[in-house]
Amino acid sequence: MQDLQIAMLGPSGVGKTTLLTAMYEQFEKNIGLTNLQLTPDEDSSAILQDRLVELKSLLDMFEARGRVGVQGTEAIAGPESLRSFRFGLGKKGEKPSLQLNFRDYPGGYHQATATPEEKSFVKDVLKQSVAVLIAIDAPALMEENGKYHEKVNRPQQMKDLFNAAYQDLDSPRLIIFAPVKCEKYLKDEKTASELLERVRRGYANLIEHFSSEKLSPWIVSVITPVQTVGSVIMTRIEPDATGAPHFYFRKTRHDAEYSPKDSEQPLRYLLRFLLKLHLDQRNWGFFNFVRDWLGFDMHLKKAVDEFARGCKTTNGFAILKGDKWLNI
Amino acid sequence: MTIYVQSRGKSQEHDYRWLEVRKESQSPVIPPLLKDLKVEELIESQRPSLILARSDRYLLLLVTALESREERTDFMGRRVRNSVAWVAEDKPETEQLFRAIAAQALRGGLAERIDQAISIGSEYGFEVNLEQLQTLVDHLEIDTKSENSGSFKFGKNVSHLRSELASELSKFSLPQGLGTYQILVVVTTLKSQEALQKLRVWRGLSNRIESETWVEVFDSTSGEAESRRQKKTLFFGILAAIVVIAIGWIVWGSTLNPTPQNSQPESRTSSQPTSDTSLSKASATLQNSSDYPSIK
Repeated sequence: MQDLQIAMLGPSGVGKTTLLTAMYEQFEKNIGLTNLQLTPDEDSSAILQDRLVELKSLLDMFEARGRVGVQGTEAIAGPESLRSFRFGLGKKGEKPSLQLNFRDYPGGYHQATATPEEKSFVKDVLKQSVAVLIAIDAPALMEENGKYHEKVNRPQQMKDLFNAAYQDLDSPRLIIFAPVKCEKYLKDEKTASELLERVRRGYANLIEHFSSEKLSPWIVSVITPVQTVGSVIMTRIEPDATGAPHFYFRKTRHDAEYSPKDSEQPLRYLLRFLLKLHLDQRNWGFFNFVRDWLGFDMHLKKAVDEFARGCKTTNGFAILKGDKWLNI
Repeated sequence: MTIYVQSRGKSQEHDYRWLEVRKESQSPVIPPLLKDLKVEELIESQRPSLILARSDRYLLLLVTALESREERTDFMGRRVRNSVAWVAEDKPETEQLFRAIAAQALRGGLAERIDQAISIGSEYGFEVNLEQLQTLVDHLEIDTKSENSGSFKFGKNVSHLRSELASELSKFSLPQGLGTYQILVVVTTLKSQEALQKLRVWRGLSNRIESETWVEVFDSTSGEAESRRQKKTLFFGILAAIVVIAIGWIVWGSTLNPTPQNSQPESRTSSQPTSDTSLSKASATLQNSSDYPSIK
C-alpha cells in the first residue's frame, strides 16, 4: 500500500489537533455516503477517539470556562516519536489501496527556542508532504481588525518555513488555508467574504511567495474554513497581563452539542487533487504512484470522483491559485 | 540517579519540553532511554500512563500526564500536564525505590507532590525544585523484597487493578533472569492485550483490555513454561534414542542369526510391527508432546 503524507501546520494553540479531530469525526459521516471507506489504524483511532471525547466533554462544561480546545501536543521522546495519524483509503469492503498519514506536532517547534532537530523535523515534514493544512485561528485574524493575527498565527514564520522547505520543488503541492473556530464568520455571505479577504491579506506574503517564478507552476492553494466545534461563537477577547489575547466563546444554544461543519472539505480537495494528478498521467517525483493508483479499478475511480466533486467554492471557500490542478 | 521532568510554561513560546534536573543546573535533555525503548509505541503520553522498564544496565520509570494544580494553565487556558522519568543503574536498591514510586503513582499519590516541586518561570517557562523531588523519593516506604512468579498478567486500566498492581510492586521484586524481559510494567490507554503480549510486557493494564480481572498468561518461551518444555523435549529425546538403539539392536541381531528359508514372512509381519512403524509412532508422540496450551 502506498503512503501519502499530509502536514498539519500552525503555531502552538491555533487548533491543529482540534482540526484533525474534527476531520476524523466527519470523515466517516461524509465519505460513508460514497463507495469509499476511510479506516484509521488502531492507535490513531484510539487517540483521536480520546480527543473527541475530550472535545465533547469540554463543550459540556463550556459555559463555565468559555474556552475550547484539546490538550497541547507533546513529543515524549523528541520529534522521531511523533506519531502519524494513519487512515487507509479504498473501496468499501476491500483492503485500502492508499494510506493517508496526517502529521501533527507541537507548535513550539516553530519557536526560536526549538532545537535544531525540532526545526529540521518541521522542514522535512513540509518537504515530504503532498498537502499542507495551515490551521488559522480565525478570531485572531478577524477580531479588532486583525490585531492579534501576527501574535497568534505568525504568518511570517509560516512563510519562512515554506521558503526553507520548498526549494527546487519538482512536483505539485496542495496548500490548504483552514481558518478554524470560524463559526461566527460564516453566518452570512458578507462575513464569509470578509473572512476570505482577511486570509488573503493576512497571508499576503506567503501567497505572493507561492506566486514566485520557481514555485508558481507547482502550487495549488485553497481556502477551506472549518467550523471545528459547530455550536459555539466567539463573544469577547480578554488580553492577559502579557498582552496575549484570550478568546471566549458561548454556545449557540444551552443544549448545543459538538457538531463540526465542513471538516471533510480538506479531504475532498486532497482527493480532487490526487485524481487530477492521476488523470494527468505524468511523472510526479516522489508520489509518482498516483498515476497508477486508480488505473486498475474504475469503481474506485468513480467513487473518488464523486466525493471530490463535493468541494465547496463559495460562501467562504475559494481556490486561490493553481485551479488547473483541480479541474477534473 | 537522574531525574527528568517534562512540563511547560504559560506562554506560547514555552511549549512542552524535558528538563534534566541536576543540583547545579536544569537543561533541556530528552531522556535517551525513552528513544531506545520507543515508549511512544506503548503509551499515549498525553494520557496518564506508566512504564517501568529495563534496558541494558539501567532501569527506567516513566510516569506521564500527571495533573497540575488548577491555576497552572497554558496561554490557551488548557491545564498543564507534568511527566517524570527516573533513570538509574539497575541495582537491587534502585529497583526497590522504583517499585515504591511506581506503586505510589498507581495509587494516585504522586501528581500533587510532583506538581508542588514545579514552579512557573525561568528560561523554559518552568523550573523544578530537585530537593523536593528527592524528598519525595526519600519518604517512600519500601517493603521487603521477595520472589515473584514469572507469568505475564494483563487487565483493564481500572482503579482496583491499578491498586492490586501497586500492592504487588510493593511486596515482590521484579522478575530476574527470565531472559527477555525489558518492558516490565505498562499502564496505557492505547494498546490491546495482544500488542502488550507481543511486546512481552510483564504486567500490563490498558483501557483497551476488556477484562476487569487479571488475565494470566504463560508464555511458551519464558520461565516455568520454558523449563517444562525443556524437560519434555529431553524426555522424548531420550525415548527416541532408546527406540533407535533398540531397532539397531534388532537389526544387528537378525543379521547375525539369519531367518530360516522356510519361515512365513506374512505371518511375522502381521504379528510384529516393523521398525519403520515403531519409529513413526515415536515420532508422532514427539510431535504431540509440544502441543500444550500457552494461555491459561
